[in-house]
Amino acid sequence: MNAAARELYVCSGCSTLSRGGPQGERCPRCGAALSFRKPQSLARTWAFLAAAIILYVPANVLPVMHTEWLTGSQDDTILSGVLYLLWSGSWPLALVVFIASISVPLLKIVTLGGLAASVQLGSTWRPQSRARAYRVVEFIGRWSMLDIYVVAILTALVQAKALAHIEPGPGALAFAAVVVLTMLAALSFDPRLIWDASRDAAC
Amino acid sequence: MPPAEIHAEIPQAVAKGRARWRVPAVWLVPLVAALLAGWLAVKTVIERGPTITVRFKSADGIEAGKTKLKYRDVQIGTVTSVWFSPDLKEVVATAQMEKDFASHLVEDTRFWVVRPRIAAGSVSGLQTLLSGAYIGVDAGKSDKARREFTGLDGPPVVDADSAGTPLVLHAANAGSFEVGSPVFFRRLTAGQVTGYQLDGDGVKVSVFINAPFDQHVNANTRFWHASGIDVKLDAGGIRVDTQSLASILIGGIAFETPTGNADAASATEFKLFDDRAAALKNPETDRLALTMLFNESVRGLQPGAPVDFRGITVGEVDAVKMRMAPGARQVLVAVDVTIYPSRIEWQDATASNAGAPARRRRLIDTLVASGLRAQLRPASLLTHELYVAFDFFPAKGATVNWAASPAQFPTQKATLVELETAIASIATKLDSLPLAELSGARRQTLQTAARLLNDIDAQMAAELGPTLAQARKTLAAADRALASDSPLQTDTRQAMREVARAAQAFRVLADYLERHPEALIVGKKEGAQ
Amino acid sequence: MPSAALVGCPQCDLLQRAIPLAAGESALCGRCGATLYRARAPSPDRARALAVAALIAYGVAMTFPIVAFEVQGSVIETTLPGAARALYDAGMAPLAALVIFTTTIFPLLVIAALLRLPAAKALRLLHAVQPWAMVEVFMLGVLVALAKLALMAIVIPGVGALAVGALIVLLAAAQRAATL
Repeated sequence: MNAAARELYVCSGCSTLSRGGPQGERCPRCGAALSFRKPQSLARTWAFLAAAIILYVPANVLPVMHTEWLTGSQDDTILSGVLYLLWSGSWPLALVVFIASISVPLLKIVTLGGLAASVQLGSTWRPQSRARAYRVVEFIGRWSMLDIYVVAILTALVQAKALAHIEPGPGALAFAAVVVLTMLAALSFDPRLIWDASRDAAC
Repeated sequence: MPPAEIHAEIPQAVAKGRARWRVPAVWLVPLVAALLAGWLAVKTVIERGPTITVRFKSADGIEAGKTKLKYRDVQIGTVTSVWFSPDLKEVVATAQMEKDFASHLVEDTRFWVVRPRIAAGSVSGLQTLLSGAYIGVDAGKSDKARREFTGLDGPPVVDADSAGTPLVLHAANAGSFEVGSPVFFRRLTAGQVTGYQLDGDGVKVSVFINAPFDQHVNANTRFWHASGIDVKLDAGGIRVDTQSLASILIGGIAFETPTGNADAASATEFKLFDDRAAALKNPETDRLALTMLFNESVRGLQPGAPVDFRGITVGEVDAVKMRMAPGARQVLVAVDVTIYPSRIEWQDATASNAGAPARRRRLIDTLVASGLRAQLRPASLLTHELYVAFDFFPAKGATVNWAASPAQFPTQKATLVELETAIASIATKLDSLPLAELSGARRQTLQTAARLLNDIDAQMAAELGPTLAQARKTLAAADRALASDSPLQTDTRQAMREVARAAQAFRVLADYLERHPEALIVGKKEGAQ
Repeated sequence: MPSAALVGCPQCDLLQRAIPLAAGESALCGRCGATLYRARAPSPDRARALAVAALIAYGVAMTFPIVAFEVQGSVIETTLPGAARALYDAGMAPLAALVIFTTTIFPLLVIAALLRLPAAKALRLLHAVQPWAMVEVFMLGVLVALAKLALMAIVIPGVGALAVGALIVLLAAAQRAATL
């Protein structure tokens, strides 16, 4: 039933079925390198995830934004930024930032970790749900970059010297790294692995 | 006929595909996008204002892409780049200006960097501490467009659109004022010094008088240094004068327009005098120059000393010189004076001014014939200054030599001569006293005095003798009483010894009672101490 | 679209038979639910046209300022590359690089790939770069930043913001037209 079992390749890019052979395992349609499964998928996923988890702590503890104005200065972490939006009355924005910058990265790390663990352990629990979870993770990954862009715009605009100016903080770098690493982790993970365990069990 | 054969003869219709556009409709999208972008680009180019360059000594506070140019606090441009001039001596700032302002970029438009600044007693530009430095602009009024400018070091003292009048003053030196120092009128700040520069052997000062004070400026106006405090000690006394506290610190100029000529022409160049007295001293143009020859010491007579007639100053001394005529036997001192005839009301039958100088001369000749002379007098007891005084003297014969240039006026010797006359007259009076009659009476008085003295002498002798003898006896008795072995002395000594012994006994008793207070009651014990 | 052909699911590897689709329908994998293909065939022409429009929008978005911020009478504005430049000026070079890549370079590569369709290399490039072009996230970031700034001072959106919005829409449409 599996393409791999019939020694047929499915191009991960253009979804073309192709037989392995003289093309040197390249997709006839788009020329991408073909493989039955993404090479070293689990290992790479775990590696990226581990790095992301390590950097998650400084990303939330260190300030992502440093504001200086006439009467003082302030360091803002992601959380304090959300709280500031909440306190100043724009709770929809606070919600958006909270989802994008706090929930999503956590969700990605936890979900990918769970998926990788489930594959590692050969679990057969609800593969459809897991597949769907993977699709969700893949889709929402990029939206965590929101806070980075907010900091970039604020830094570019609030440059009135002594009156007020904003600088990015070290937390921003860590946070950006977390986003990139989780995206890489999601890209490395081969969802077909979810089904391999079930298939093996079924067989 | 069979259907197939029919079909074979009938030509086949040619299939035609559904009419399709050559280009699929989706290409409208990029077309629209291109049109929009093109319109945007064109709009930007059209709306783009002119580019200007401004040269500064340093780029302090100017940042490419950030620093704005503002006129009256409205942004009219942005600096796009900052770099050196080819010879590295200046910094050239290139700025993109708003299109609407292009018509104001003319010859006399000025640029400067607005920073916090302290100058001429005022602080400006503090708001740039918060908002960052910007380039201030003062739009000019000229017609000639210009795109390359040189920036000023600081804000112009006077805006191009301030109402008022610029004037030029000529001074001997710059005194203590600087650019921005105030110009006072009636102790109000009426304008400012806008600049000064060397000019020949003096200094040319540019000032700007604000409206409405400039209405008070006409050809008669006098300007003077009003810096600091004026203290003057001269033939008139002591005077202290100052304009304001500010002018003491930062200097200033003051002006006044003496009422005089109602029809005053306007003028733009004036002389700057050293002080108020000098400025207001010569409001008149009507002058009469005279020379006076003195044959005495003129020590203490200064140029500028007043020429006085019965207490009224009618002129002043211009110069004091020695005159030595060849072949003359004496050295005279020539004093040049200037008289202002307008200080004297000439009571004249004729009302018109025509021929006034000639009439004046006749009048002066008449006065001289009656004894009017010039004389040197001491000005005050404090100083050794002299001044020239006109007065009438019992002198005859001299006349004004109108032919000389300047005219020579007859003089009178100084008051020392009067003193001699006075002494001489006293001596004469003394001389005329009748001393001969006085001598007889004198002798008789002396004799009477001698007799009186003899009487007194005799009477005194009779009384004095016995009194003296008595005094001698009393003194001898006292002497005996006070001798060292006299009874008085011995008795006294003994009494003193008794007192000392009593005191000693008391002391012992006191000691004993201290140790044995009960002895007061029970008495002294035998053998106790 | 092959109607009697076999298709393989890229997410669960299941071999399935393709089914004919009515207009607007999309075929899902029977086992895991992944989208296999859609009723409309990928149209490189359409994708190319939209890519051209996207390119124009891209040019405008990069040149004109996105937003301007007025404080104390001074107006400060920034373009998209300007925001990345600001990060670089603040000393965060890696962050600046990340922003520039995800908002400027990768979207440009996407457009380039779309323009070269249906060349094989273009398709490969498209699939490689697609996940990393994040202009829409940037747009949302701008909106959040604007909302934050509007609390402090006057905010003036610029032409660039509209162009970025157009770019997002055009890119999405072009990519949809290009792929299954």
